Amino acid sequence: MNSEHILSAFDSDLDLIQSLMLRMGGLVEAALHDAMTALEKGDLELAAKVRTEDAVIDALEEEVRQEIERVIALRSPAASDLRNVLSVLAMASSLERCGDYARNVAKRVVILEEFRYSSTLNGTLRRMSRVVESMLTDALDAYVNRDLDKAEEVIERDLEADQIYNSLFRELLTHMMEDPRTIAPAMHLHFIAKNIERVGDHATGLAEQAIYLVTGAFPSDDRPKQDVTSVNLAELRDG
Amino acid sequence: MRMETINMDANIETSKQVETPKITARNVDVFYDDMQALHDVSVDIPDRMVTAFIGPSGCGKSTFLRCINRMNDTIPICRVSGDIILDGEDIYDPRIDPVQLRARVGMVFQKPNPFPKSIFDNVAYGPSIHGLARDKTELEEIVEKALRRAAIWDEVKDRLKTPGTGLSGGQQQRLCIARAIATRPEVLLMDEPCSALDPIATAQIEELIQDLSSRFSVVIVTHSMQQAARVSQRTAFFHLGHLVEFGNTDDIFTRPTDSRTEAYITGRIG
Amino acid sequence: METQPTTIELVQASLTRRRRKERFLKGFGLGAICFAFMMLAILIISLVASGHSAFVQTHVTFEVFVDPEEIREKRLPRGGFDDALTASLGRHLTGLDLSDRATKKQVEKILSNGAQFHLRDLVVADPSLIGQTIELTVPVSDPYDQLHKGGIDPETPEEHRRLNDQQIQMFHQLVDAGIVSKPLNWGLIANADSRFPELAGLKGALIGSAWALLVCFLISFPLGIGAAIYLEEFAPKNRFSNLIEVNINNLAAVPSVVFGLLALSVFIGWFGLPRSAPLVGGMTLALMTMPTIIIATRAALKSVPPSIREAALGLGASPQQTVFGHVLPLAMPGILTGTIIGLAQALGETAPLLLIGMNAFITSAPDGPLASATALPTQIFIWADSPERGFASRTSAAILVLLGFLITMNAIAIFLRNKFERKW
Repeated sequence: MNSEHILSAFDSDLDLIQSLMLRMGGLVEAALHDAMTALEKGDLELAAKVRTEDAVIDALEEEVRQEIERVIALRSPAASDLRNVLSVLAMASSLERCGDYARNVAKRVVILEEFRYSSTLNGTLRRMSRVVESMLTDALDAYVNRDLDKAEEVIERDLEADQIYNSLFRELLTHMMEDPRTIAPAMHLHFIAKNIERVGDHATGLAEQAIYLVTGAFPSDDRPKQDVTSVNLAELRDG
Repeated sequence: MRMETINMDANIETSKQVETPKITARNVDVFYDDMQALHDVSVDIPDRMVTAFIGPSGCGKSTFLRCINRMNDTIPICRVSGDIILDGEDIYDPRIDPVQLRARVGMVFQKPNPFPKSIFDNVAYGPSIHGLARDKTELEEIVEKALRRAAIWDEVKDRLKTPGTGLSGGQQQRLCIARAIATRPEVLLMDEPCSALDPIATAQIEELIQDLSSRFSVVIVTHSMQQAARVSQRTAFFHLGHLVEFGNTDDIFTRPTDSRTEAYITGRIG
Repeated sequence: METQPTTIELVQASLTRRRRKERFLKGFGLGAICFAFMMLAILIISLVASGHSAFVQTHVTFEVFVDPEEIREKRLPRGGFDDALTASLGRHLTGLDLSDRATKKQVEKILSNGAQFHLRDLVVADPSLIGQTIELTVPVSDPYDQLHKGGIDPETPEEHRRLNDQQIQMFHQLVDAGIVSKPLNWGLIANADSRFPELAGLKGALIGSAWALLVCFLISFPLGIGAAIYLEEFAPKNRFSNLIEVNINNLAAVPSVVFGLLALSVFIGWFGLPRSAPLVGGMTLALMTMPTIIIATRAALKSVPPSIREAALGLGASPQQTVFGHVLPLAMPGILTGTIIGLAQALGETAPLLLIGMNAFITSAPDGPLASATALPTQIFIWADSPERGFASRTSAAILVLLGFLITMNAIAIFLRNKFERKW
């Protein structure tokens, strides 16, 4: 909470920026949830809605950027106010990317529908998306409440998301090797999974911004990265 | 929720050497009759850098500044206790003559106050009374050098005999700076030097301060945080007669350790 | 619902009352000034009316034969100068028998008593004049001076007049002969006091006053300024210095006659200084002027902005250098104004000088501060007491001279104040 600047307009400026960013967060959470629902139910209308609503998220990011430009020019923020402003800028940018990822998921829903590919993986995918959605929500909460513990916990939850992604990757690989006809839809499913995993990484970034806001420094970069797909292909093949 | 404290030494300046401090103050208390204006102030002021004193009105920053050249001696009800050591000598030692001290520690005041004499006589006054020039030519050299260093020589070189009070505000303040540096002091104290000036004159004097700090230690009291941020390498924050925090200017303005400093810098207390 | 009256309406309502008050105040002030000026005008007019005649003096111009029978070189400076003058003057008078002693006395009395001494001085300076005829312009005596200025009313009975008909008639002969003139009375300034009004002048008084003022200035100026500087700049602010300050303010209010008594008992009685001396007068006046100077100097010093002092101290000037090099020069206009006003007051002080005896009748100008002298105000006092008619107008003339000096001194004070004001 921003409180007790002598210049009350400064407080309202900071509140505005934060509320814009939080609105973006809410929209992104909803977009991701709707995209996954559309995937599960094959709801093309919902997918189309997600795609059009992304424009709102982009517009909000632009608005946040303009407001921050104004605050920097007029208020000369220092110390915690400066970190506040810089972190919101970074978070808005992250959220805008997350919105794009949700839109991409929605795009692939349409394509996937043509394949009528049902997969047991949908459950796994749903689990992953729920983890990531919760990460988003909790990261933003941690930011608003300046809750360091919660932020660190979010960072650690990324491990879980990555692990789900790894197992998904293995499964898809198996499916593709068994039945070459499933390669196309599997590829699309993989991209969807990748997008969700990226949203998870961004949610981690949001939590890091929360830590930066409170402490003034970013946590050290050796956070648990368990996406080993890039390194351990041999391991995976042997399964 | 937990707050983490930050290690202040995170950013040591690489551009300037950290030498032994020019002025060391230890446990300085100042009393006006029964009212205590400064409580237990201890600080090390480095050489050849600009140190800024910031804080709300009445916090004691000007009082502390005036202790450094013993100007508080002129106020009868003022008592100073504690040590202030300049280059290893305690300036409050009874053997030290404040008149001599003030030739080594110059001062520039808030409102430009040139003497109602000619520009030349203004600058020449300090060197004359301390006997720093052997003859008239040497005096003229000293005056010219001081006016050049104060970035005002070109504007006044053709009218050195005209009264100093005939200049504009910014020029008068630069004249006062020239007057103070004419005695080649080791430390220059500036008490809100730009508060009576317009922004352009202020910027010129800030540039001048940067330049001067390569030669002597500059201590500037300012009520503008932005000025302290622009001009200084070290900042001391005073509040209600206490020195709350002292450190590198970068750190004070991005990651102050004390919550009072944070509150002042972000405009939450005045 | 009735709306609140607007600010404009409220202001309008009070405006008439305020304007009326302002007009009244202005009128009152103007009236007070007019009254003051009227009083001043009455004073000046009455002085001028009674004194203007003293600024001219009736003279007679005629040829004098320096009779070697009366005046012999060997016997100089003694000689029958008055006889020589009478004889020469008698030539302009017809129908007179100069061998008659009474007549001769009357003719002699036309001229001023100082005329013979004037001739004597000429001959003593240049004995070759004996036997020659020289042209002389000498003042007439007071009764004839008054007559010529219209001060003797021919209507009054002869016994009550200063001049009888015959004397008046003689004078008219001289007037008809065209030898009577009324030039400016330089003697008023150039002559010392005298028993005879036509010869009386202010020289002695002017010189006496000048000496007294000089002594006063030399004592009070440095002491007053020094005391003020000490009290203002160097003295510790404690109860003792407060006591001194109160006492100085009280001194300024002490009646001047008390200072005269002090001078009489201490300077003349105890120190044994000569009476009527301008030195003693000056010392007494110095005692009176010092509080004025101290107060004026302190005010001038206080008005110097502290920023100048701080600047000087900050550069390493000692407190003494600061005061004498910076504060004092800036305070000087105020100090000078106060000093001149103090001196102008001292010029007009009468009571203390009377008490130390500067109201003696002294016919020569003092040759130093220790010689007996009068001062301008005491001289006026003496002349005001004299019974001769001639002194009445001379008293007014002397007052006008004194006022002239006072106005000049105050004008100089105002000039100085305006010239040096606000140089910082």
